[in-house]
Amino acid sequence: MISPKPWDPAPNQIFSFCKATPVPSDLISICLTNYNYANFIKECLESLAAQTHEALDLIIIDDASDEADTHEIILSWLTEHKKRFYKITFLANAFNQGPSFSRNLAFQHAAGESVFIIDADNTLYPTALEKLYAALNNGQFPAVYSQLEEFGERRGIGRADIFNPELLKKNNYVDVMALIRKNIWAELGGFTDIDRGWEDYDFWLKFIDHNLEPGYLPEILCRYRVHNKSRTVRDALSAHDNLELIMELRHPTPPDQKLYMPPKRHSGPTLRIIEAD
Amino acid sequence: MTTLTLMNKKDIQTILSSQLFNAEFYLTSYPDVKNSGIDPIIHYVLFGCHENKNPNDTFNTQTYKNLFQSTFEKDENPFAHYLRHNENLYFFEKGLLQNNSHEVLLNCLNKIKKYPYFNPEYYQAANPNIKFEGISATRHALLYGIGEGRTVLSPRHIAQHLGWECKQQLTYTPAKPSGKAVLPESVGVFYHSEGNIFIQELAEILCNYIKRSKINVQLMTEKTPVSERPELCIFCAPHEFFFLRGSEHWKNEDILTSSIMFNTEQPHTLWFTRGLIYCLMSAGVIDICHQNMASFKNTGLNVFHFDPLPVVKKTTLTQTEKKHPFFRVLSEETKNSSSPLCPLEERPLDISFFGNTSGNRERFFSHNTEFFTEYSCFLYYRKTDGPLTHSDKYSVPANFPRYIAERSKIALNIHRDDFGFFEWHRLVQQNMASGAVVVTEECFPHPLYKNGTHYLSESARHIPNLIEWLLNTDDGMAEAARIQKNCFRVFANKSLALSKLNDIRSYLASVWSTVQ
Repeated sequence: MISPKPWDPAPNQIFSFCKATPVPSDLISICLTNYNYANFIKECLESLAAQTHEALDLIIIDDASDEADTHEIILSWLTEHKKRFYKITFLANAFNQGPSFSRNLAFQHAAGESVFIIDADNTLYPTALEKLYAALNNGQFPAVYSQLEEFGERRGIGRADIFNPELLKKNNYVDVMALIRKNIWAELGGFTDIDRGWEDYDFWLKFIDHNLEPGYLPEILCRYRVHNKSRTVRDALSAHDNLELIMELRHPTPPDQKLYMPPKRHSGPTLRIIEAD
Repeated sequence: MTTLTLMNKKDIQTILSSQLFNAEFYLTSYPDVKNSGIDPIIHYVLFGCHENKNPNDTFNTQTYKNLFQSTFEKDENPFAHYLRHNENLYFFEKGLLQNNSHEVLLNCLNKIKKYPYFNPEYYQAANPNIKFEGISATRHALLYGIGEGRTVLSPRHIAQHLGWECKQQLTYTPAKPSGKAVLPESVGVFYHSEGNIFIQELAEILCNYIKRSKINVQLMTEKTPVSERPELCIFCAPHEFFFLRGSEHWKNEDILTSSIMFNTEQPHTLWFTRGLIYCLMSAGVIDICHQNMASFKNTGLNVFHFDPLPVVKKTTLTQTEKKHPFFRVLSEETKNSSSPLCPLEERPLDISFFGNTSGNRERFFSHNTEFFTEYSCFLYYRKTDGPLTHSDKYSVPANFPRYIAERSKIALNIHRDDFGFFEWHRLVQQNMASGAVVVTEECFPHPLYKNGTHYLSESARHIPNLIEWLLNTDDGMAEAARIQKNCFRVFANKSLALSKLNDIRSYLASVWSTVQ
């Protein structure tokens, strides 16, 4: 368990619910983070309620969305559907803290032994959690993920594949929509805030640092919405080269292994002349 | 069909038995040979030597011919002649480094081959316009690339090396006292009088550090005549010292190879690259960053981590300095006398920061502007071009950041770039030693100063949370006071201070033993 730091701002509890029955042994926690996705979140919630896996613990973190009616939309849906879930926790950050902080917060509140991560603009097919949960236990994996379907402004299939440390060092092909054991999250030190994005990639690289291999379930179970608000499009793209160097710095290739050199792009990493201080 | 003369056959035999012909080098340097299908040695003897092709990376055919052609026998191959008569001499081109001897250049070449930030494949990819004919990428980088200001070092290799070093356990272990060590009778610490004021301050700190270890040392500049050369020279910030005017007389090879270079620059900058040649030539390198020092160590250089204990003392401004607009703008309370030991709750400023512009800092301050307006701050985020120097009357006095830190509860450190160097000068010298609590983005590990004990680190996004907690809660203020106390405990540790003095003595003795 990773405890919050003394200076982490305490979230406001907007809503909570828990059945009086004993905690189901197959309880899956869902970490649902929202930042300005009020127009998408109902679709996401509906797909969670439609899951064939019964025992669900839903944790919603609203990361101080600017949209005024966000809490009302979520609250009215939760009130109507609360009985579908074993437990619900709806928290709101007082001001924007970023996806890493919000996901860590959700893990801290998770009652299940495994946590599924989803952003409010994405959705799941009904059998997703049931199948992922079975795969997690069948293979005794630290985490499992499936293939994605891309929808919205582009239709297509994601790039998920077997977790191969060598390939993953070159670039990230594993989305954060994955089922992760809570004790593994703690062992890895949780998510780290990376300025300008790539915290997902950083998280998967931590698995490599710790010699852990997540499992890949080759089924298309999760839906990833492609739109111009996607953070990857907004921030990370322009900072691509610097982020590659940050990843190498944070997860260095051992000196006795050959360093992967990315192919040269039009604007390769640049050396900047900067003042001595 | 060409036939081999007797001389040709004799030459081939000589070259073969020397084992100094590098067929791989020959084939990669001259793709036309590969296409011809002729054995590379035969090609060199029959055709290559007339086309001024080189048999390996260290022998320049043309240079040799110019010097010795008159003594060749008929048909004699220049390289075979060299093997027979002059093998103890070097014949490779010197590129832009004409003032240096072949021995020193060969030594540098061998070092750069072991230097973890350099990668020949990267150098070739980063400089697609260079034709590497008859010269290896490594040699080109050394002889031309650095001097021409090219992209020489691989950012990814730098990241890998530093990242790996950061994963290593790092604690301070005192060196064993060197009993009968022979020390130089005089040491000179050089800085350039027209350079960055903080480099001068670092030179003064190094000089005082050596002085306290009971070695005869003096502060010198480029203006010092060579006739007053001390036995052992230490050049601070070679990337600056040797590139500002007036230092030419110190660029003598004999001086450079028997001196120590004090590197203060971060390796992903072009400043660093241009100073690199001086570090490679030197008798030893002192580095302000522990992880960077390790890269020099890999090349076989005698290295030392610059980490003297700072002297805790009150900062006083002169009457002239008190006319500076930055002093006049302060509140009356802030102008009052203070001291590094002043308790945090009595300090008039909440947060201070000094640093030049960068993309990282621009993002940080523009995202948190509103947050800082709630506090009393001194945030000197400077966008004017060029370093702070003495020549500028609007320049900030070198001791001014300390003066402000002495009056601040929190001293903020936002890294210039993505690499989180432990910026010793700012963190320890300016801030911790002034009793301010350092709040920083995550830093590279340091042997003495630890996160959570001597400073507090957070990701840039969450730094406001940390500051708010420190300043506005009882727990936070108690934590701040604890951090402040921990730092003073290090600075006042007498056995540590002695051990640090012993470290610098031992190091100077070990360098001296190799150059005297």
